[in-house]
Amino acid sequence: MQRRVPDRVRALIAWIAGGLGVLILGSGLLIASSTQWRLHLLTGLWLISFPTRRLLGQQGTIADQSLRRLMLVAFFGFSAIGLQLVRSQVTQSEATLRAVASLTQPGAPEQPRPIFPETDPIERTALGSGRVFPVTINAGIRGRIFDRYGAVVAETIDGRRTYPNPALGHLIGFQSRLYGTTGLEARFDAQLSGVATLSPIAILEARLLGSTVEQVPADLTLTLDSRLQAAAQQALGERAGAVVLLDVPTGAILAMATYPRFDPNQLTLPEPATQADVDRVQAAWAELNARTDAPLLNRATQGRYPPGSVIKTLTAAAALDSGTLADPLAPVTCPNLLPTEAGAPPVRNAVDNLFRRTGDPSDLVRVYAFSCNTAFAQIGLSLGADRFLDYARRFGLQTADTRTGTADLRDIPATIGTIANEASFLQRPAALADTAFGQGQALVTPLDMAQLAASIANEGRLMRPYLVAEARTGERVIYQAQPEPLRQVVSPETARRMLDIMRTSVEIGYAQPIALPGVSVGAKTGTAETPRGIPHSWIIAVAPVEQPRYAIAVIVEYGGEGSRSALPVARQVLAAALEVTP
Amino acid sequence: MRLRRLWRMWYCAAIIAPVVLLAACSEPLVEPRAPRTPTTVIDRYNAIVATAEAGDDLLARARAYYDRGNIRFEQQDYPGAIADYDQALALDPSMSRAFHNRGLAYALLGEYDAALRDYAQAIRLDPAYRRAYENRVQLLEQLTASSSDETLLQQLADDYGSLAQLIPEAEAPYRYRQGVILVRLGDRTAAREAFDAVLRARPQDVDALYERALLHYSAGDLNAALADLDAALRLSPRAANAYYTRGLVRYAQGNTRDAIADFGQALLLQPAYPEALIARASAYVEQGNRTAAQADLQRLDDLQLDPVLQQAREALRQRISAP
Repeated sequence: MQRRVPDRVRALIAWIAGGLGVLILGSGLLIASSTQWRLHLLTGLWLISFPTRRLLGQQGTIADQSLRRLMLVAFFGFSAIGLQLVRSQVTQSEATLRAVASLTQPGAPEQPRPIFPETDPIERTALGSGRVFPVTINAGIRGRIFDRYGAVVAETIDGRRTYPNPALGHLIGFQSRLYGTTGLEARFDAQLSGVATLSPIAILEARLLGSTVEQVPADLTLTLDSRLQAAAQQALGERAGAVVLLDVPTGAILAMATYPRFDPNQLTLPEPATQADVDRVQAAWAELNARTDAPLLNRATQGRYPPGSVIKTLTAAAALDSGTLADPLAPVTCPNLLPTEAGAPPVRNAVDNLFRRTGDPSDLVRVYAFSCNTAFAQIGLSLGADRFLDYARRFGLQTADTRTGTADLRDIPATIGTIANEASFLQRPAALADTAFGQGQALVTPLDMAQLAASIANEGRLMRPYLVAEARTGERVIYQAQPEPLRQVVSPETARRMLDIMRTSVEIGYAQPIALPGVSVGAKTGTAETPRGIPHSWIIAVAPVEQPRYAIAVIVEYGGEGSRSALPVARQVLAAALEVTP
Repeated sequence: MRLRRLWRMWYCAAIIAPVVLLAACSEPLVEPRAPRTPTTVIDRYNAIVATAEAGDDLLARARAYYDRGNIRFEQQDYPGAIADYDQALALDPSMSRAFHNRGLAYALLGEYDAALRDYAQAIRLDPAYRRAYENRVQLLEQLTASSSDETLLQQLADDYGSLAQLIPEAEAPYRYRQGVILVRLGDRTAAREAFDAVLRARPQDVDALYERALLHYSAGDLNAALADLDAALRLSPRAANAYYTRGLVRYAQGNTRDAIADFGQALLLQPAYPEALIARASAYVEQGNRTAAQADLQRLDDLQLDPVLQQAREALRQRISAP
């Protein structure tokens, strides 16, 4: 038996459906999405049709009922379309308004409402106008460079970089609008231009707020002593070579001369520059690059030469420091010939029967003073390859195949000296013997040898060489060099013994001509063989021996024996430094 | 039975029909489009002008020229419209609308000086002439977008102010725009007043809060700047540039730790944000954390920077590598 739902319940359900329909229809008006709105509209009208159908009733003929239902459908259909049209009129009112009364329609009486699109603040990913101010940084005039006593060595006059001492091109470098920036000008460009004083935050603030940005160029003060520099240049004269004078306690470079050199003034342009100025600079640059004597090369830090006998200082220090030789007076022989290995030529001395000068048996002091090759070959062999290489590395020399890091000098370009092309080379007895007295594959810079002498003079402590003492903007120091010990290469005791040996070399040996009145000087000459036949002339020296202040290295390319060319140069410079009359 | 089946089919069709009809209404019923003016209309206006010319009423003649000018304008015959407005203004120089419309025609022809002259005259004749202000603002915005002519900028700022008074319901947006232009002009006091006015009208205007914070920051009033930025960030917690600016303010206060946190938040919201990277790296350097600064610098090296930011990056590099 079929159960019928009571009429009252059906009426209640119909009216609830109707109410729900009104709610759905009403809520649809608040919905932005057209699709959802249409769904609400149709659902709402369908639900509203339930109570409406009940109101219309079921009585009458089939024709009456059909007519009523048809009317109902038509009513709801037109209602749906009508509501849709009304809603469209409301939602598209802005578009309608714009079409009817646009801003560019003259004569239209309606005033348009200003339309400012608004986004919900919570959705915003950027605030404000997004404006950035143009930032202009007042670069100021590039800083000047002074020597240690305030003499100007570089300045900008009327927009042109000028170098009052043209002989310092290899140190100062140049700032050329055509060929860039080199030397100190490049290494300290940030300080000289003022970029180093520039605050990144200040730039950001200026961009955001329109504030001003200050870029204050700094002046550099060098460790260079113009008087000693002039003495070094004068002593070297127009001979290819280099002079390096170091301040022993600090490692500061007091003088650094090189020849051939170039005048940096010829590479800078006036402001404004004419085509003739550009042509002149280009011609000068072409000429400098075409020369075969490499005037742009700073021989003091980048020239690599065989060290000759000055390397005996390293060998002697290594022997004493390692205990290979118990003391400087330990017996050492100086034969005319020293066979090293089968097939290799024996080691020879520069002069025959040198043992007559050194004594037989001799000691380290005398074989050093008279630069006995065979004695130092034996010492090298006694040290052994590994220990010899270890000491070479302590003094800053590496092997070419494993050369790493940067040169000790950071202020200007410098090359790291090498004791051999590869470590295995020294494993051969003949190679080790040759290297220990100054032949073999070693290639060193004059600065390397000046550092060797300075570390002996500084109680065995190797200092970092430096050229820039400070950079300051007015009263504010923005860079201050601090003397920096790099490492203890030999013990202070070994260093003291080596100083005595170097002094004796001046008192009785080949370095005797460097002696200065009233000052004790320690030195070692060197004569480095070259493929051309004429050797390079070397010397290293320290003074005064009791309390060393100066260490010097001099090379004169193809200058012959060390005592002939390099020694007088070193003597002249030391005399100037010590203020004694040679 | 057949009748009942027929009825059901008819009933279903009647329900489906409105549904189909409604679906077809998915396109906007009203499309904004340029009003159309038939070319033949001009003949009618020519006749009106001819009639007016025959009469003695100068004002009627001026009106006839003005009306025909409007039609020519609608037909995009701007030189013809200008000629008619000229005639109308020769007969009746008090026609502010003719000045305005001629100004608009000049503007559309690219004759901006003439346009500005006419707008100014229209406004002089009718100081409450809102449309003249609006069209002048539109032209001035266009002209000052790529130039910093102070006279034009000042005029634009003044016009925004006038519109803010003329349209009270749009006071806040116009005052805000006025403030932005005044900042560009360097008149920070007047700009501050403009932003204050915005915030009086609409206290939760995040743009005005941000811009006022910048003015406080610029004036050295860091606490006030921080208060405005805090308020702005409460309302707009995803605004990367507000975090960046608050970081700068905190950095200026010496609060490096919180500044780094703000720069970090800005970078979280906008990873390719060079200013925030430079600022955070600088703050790291200040803290002595060179490793973190170096990491930010590396991220900067991967970004395309304009010349100013390149300088900032190089200054930062100097800071990081300084002994």
